[in-house]
Amino acid sequence: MLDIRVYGENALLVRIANPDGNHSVQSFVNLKQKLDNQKEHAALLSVVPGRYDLTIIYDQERTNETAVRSLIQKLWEESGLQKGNSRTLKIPVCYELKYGLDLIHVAEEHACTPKEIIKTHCSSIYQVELIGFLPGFPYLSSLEANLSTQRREVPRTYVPAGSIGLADEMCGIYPIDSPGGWKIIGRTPLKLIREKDNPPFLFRAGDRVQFYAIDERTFDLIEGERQNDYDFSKKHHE
Amino acid sequence: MSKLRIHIEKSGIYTTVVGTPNYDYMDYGVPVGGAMDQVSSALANRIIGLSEDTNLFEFTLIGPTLRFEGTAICALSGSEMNARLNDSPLKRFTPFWVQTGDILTLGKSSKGFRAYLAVSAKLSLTQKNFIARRLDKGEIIATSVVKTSLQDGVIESKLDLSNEIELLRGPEFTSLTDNQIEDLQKGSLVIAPTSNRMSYVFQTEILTPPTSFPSSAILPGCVQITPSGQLNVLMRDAQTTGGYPRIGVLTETSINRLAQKRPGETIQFRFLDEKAVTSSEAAERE
Repeated sequence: MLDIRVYGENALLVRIANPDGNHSVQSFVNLKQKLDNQKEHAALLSVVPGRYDLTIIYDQERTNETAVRSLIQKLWEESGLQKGNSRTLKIPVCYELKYGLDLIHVAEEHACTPKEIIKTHCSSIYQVELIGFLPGFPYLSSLEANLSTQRREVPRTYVPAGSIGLADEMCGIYPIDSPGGWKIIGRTPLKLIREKDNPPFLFRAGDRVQFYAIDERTFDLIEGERQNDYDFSKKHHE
Repeated sequence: MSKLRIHIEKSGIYTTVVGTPNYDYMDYGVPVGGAMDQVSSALANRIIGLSEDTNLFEFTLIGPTLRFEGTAICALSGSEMNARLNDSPLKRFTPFWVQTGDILTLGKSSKGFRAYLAVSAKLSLTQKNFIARRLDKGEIIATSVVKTSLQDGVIESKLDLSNEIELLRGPEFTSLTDNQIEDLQKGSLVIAPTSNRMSYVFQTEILTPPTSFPSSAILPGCVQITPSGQLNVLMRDAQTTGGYPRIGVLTETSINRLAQKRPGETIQFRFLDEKAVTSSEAAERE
């Protein structure tokens, strides 16, 4: 059952009544893809995923609430429970303490060793639930990894681009240098902002992500590459 | 096509080049941006015969000093910044020519907060990491002039200076009690000094229980409330998702209106109708 409500003058907020986490993410990935395909034709401005909802913003001059509402309903009924298409990206992470600024604290918080944190982080599949906070910043969740972590009490004024952070039950990656309060466990040498691509961002909602550990030498190697034709479907040099 | 160079001799408080809100990458976390007061920006462009969504300068509180190399036609709208071209005072809402060597000086806003300068040239957005950034003293904007045709007759205009801010119920409107809704609309609220292109901030005495509310899209005009009673009215450069209850959403008219208010000024909130009540909520009541 979809719950569609008015949100401001030209948007609708869509929720699944009684959501169970994973089910709603996957169905929304699908619904978003279907809506995105009709964007031009249906005068939609944007389809923005939240953790458990979708916001659909439309062009008031070209369409209206009733038309958008029935489009959403129709697309949902056509394909509600089908799974959306997701890519799986393999993301190299250097967990050395030079980059994993809070790794030791995170290990202490979970009463285990840094190695075990890395193992857990690398052994589960994450999914991009939404993108927000900063341009291109993915919010990742995982069903398997139990790495629920408190935010830093005092946020850092500077977190370097590529840093992998944990906060609550989510994992995030900083696309640009920024202040931030997530606990940092490592860094990827991959560029999340990709000026030559359209859209110019590495991640999109619905992507699946598998992290793998690399050493400092490999980090430098990848960081030095042009990365334009980087193959995200496999590990570096695989 | 003839060239135009605009030198930033003095930067003012916050001078930037903006356009119309752009939703292309909102689902990738990019704020929609655009001129804070869309009514004024559209007007400045229209006065010199440009399409309403053309990029133009936005000035906040104190405007810059600009030196021109090349010839172009311009118009000012929005707040009154006591503009002068060389030594002559300029009227808002009236086209004027600039030539090589001309110096346009803007002062401090007396009526309103943000002024707009439309120029018959192709201006690129001033951005860093996809978000508006301020132009600094010494920067030079190199561009080319576009042809325009001035419209006949005077465009009548007045800046909207009402302090009534109208809002619709937001998705989490029900996190407020009836008394709190009344309180929110009863008094006037003071705009805090930290207000900017991202958000307008107000301190209230409305306390709500802390909730862990899952992140969801925020639109320009969203009114979020924090447990300590701080109201954030999110503006054009706000981040695209957030986790505080969204108790209301400003109308587009009220976003433009608020954009012309400065820190220290007071405003009054007024909820419009019950449009945002969901069908399921209505059903529950029956």
